[in-house]
Amino acid sequence: MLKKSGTTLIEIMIALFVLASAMIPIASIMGYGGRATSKDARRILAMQLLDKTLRQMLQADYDEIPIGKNIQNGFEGIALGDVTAGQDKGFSFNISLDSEYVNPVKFKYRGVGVNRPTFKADSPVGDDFLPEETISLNDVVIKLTVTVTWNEQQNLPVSVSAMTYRADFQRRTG
Amino acid sequence: MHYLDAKRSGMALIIVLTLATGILILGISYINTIRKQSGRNTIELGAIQADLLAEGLTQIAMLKFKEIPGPLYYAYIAHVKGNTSQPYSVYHGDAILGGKLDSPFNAEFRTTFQLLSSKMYQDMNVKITVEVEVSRPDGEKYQRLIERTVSGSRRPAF
Repeated sequence: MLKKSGTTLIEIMIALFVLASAMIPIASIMGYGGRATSKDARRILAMQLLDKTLRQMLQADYDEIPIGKNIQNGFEGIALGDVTAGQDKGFSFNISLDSEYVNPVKFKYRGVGVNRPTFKADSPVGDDFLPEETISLNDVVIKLTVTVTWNEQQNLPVSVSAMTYRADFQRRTG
Repeated sequence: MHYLDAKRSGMALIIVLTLATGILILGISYINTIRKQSGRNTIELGAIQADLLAEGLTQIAMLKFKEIPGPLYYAYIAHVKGNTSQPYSVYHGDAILGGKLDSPFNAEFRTTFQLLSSKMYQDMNVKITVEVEVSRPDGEKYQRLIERTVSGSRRPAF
């Protein structure tokens, strides 16, 4: 009888040891999951800030958009520099803008000889068109690149960036 | 009796090993799910970039239409009448509105102008279509198509 009881105790101890050994990596996996979820939340917030900032710039007054590198001062109600976001504004981000004119902007076209005797406005033919021309415009398109930066664990900086163009398509208002 | 007890010995160990293996499998599948989720967030950035680039190109196309509307009108009429498509093709030949980007990301884009019901010297209505395909370094591609109708009317100079 005594011999049998001893065997069961050893069995339970080995089983507990195995279970404990398995639980250590499992606990670490759970911790990894939590950290990854939190990291994803920060990344999603950063992308939301990036998207919002560039969309605001697409709507902003063209003449108010500053030109330069690593611009940190906001304009037209658009937040740049250090901002907080997320639940209870618990996450800190930095939003910076790089902007430059795309010069020159070239547009190709073929004009029409409307004074030609054979010209018909409702059916122009090949001979009615003038040779290819190009107009060059300066300071009418700005390339906007916004970068959102934040710190992950161990102060590791991470960033997301995107770009778009803002054109001064309302410049002839008179 | 003694034979049965000997057969049962080691059962607890087997049960615990089975349970532990089961929990480990669950943990591994959990990690895989999180990894896939992180990849999806990267994909979202590609989609955002494609959309923003398409919006920007739409603005440039609107600028071109506003600067030189007449040549588009006649080029489109000649194109649909079957007289010549060359002027219409020239109007679409700008590098800034159709081509490729290699930096800061890879993208291909195309812009087309289509004349809608218009009367020259009175009004012009144009449908601008911008197609963008952004390629991420991991090979994923994100397409975005924006169609915008622009209406213009001629106003007296004074």
